[in-house]
Amino acid sequence: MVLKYITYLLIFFFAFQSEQSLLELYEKKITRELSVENVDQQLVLSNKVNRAYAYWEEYQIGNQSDKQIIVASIFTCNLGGCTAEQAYQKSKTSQEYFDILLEFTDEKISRLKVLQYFSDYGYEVVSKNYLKKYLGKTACEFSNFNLEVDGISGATISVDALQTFLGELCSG
Amino acid sequence: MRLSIFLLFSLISLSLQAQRIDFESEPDKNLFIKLYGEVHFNQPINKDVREYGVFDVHRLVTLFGYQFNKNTQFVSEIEFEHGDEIFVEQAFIKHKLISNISLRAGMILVPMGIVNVNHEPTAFNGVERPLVDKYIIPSTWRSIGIGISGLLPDQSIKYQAYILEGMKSYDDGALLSSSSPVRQSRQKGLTSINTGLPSLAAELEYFGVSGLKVSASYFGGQTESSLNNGLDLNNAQLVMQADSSMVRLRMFTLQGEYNTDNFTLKAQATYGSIIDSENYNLFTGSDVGSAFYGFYIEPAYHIMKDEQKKWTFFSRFSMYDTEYSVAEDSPNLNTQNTVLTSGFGYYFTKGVVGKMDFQQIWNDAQNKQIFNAGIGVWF
Repeated sequence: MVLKYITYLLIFFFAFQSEQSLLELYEKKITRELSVENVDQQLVLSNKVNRAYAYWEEYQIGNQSDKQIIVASIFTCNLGGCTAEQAYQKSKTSQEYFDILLEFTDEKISRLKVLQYFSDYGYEVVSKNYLKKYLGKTACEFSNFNLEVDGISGATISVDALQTFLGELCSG
Repeated sequence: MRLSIFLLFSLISLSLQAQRIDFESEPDKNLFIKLYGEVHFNQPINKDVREYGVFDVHRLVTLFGYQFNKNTQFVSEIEFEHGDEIFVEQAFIKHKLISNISLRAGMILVPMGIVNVNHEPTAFNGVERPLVDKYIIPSTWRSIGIGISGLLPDQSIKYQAYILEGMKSYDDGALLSSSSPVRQSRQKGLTSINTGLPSLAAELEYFGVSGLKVSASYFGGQTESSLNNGLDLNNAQLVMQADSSMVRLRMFTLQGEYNTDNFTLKAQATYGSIIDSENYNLFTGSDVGSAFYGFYIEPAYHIMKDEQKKWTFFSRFSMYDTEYSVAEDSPNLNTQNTVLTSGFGYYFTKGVVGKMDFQQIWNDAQNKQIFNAGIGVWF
């Protein structure tokens, strides 16, 4: 009888519990990427932001005050069916996303990796060789819709969405 | 109690599917509708023979898709061809299995050739699709099947592998011939038949160098035959006839695209082999070869007017042979074609193009010239 009530209680708890964080969702990948043990304990959440164009979580690693980790879900649109402006303003009629891991060291990008990409279009943006071009740049270099790094033919919307997101990080 | 535990685990797994894009509260944004279409004019030019030109609503394709949640999508394409033929070009579900690996099932585009997969009129140069993508790779080539697609971000690799319905080589008569090795044998999901193992299609693409994409693809399997229906396995004569009406088909393609701001280079080469073509021809009276090939190389130069408008000038050199080699004792017909297509496209804005080109075809039978003009849209 007691077990039954505990089960109902647990069902209630899980049914209404808050969403899983992006860090939890990609814990294994992030652990491997950052070479940090116990990512869930080492990374301390400092901010969570939900905007029309992206959702992201900001973390600090232990005592390393010069480093900031961001795990973000960047919103685009299905089958390349919108312009970057539409994706940004959320005035698009369809929705799509990709998730990234971003590390800043002294405010400069020191790591950028796409954790998940679902769409059949624009997947070239995940290339490690392409994302290398972002290293060493600050978020503010991408503000005012500057295309600070060259785009990729066929991945215009994903690249624009990524750079728009970086620019918005600058303005906070 | 068991039910409660089951419910508990179901809810735990549901909570793990949580997502930041709210697919549930804004379902109107989950539906996506797109369209591409092309209207053409083709005029053969011949000094000695009068030939009429053709105006044609070549294709009008509506695309409906639905994003059920972060991990599951449905895509369909319904095509109206030449104004009076209706086909389903794509109808598949895509479901993320684990990070960067998705399952795909339903009617799928066979991942072979630059145009077969990206076939919207704004994606290729020239009014008509390259002839190699018609007679050698039978675009739009689609099949019903299941498989996976995935990305390796660190290696800049995309891969796809599917098991698909096979091609059909015999349906109360031969479907393979020297002039069209595989085009007539697409089953297109029109109550496709299957007797043995399905066919296999796979592609490996590398996109790690800025502006460059190269890929290799394979399609292979035994073809299907209508003679397999109700076949009495104790009747050796009938079994032999049914076996002779099927062949083993293998196709390999290498393709690449290089893009800079003003310049694009596309190249593609396909080699196909038909094993058992000798027995097939003996039984069906057809004349299909044992191998076929086709390749093209296409440089294009873009003059940007602004971010949306541009002129594209291109020239495509193609060679293809629908019967490159034959089985012993079979007649080798001269089926080699050399094609030079040159022209331009003007993009009025992103997704709207006007095209014009001139096509010269050399083969054994004739030296043919065609003027083509058309419009294309994709939105």
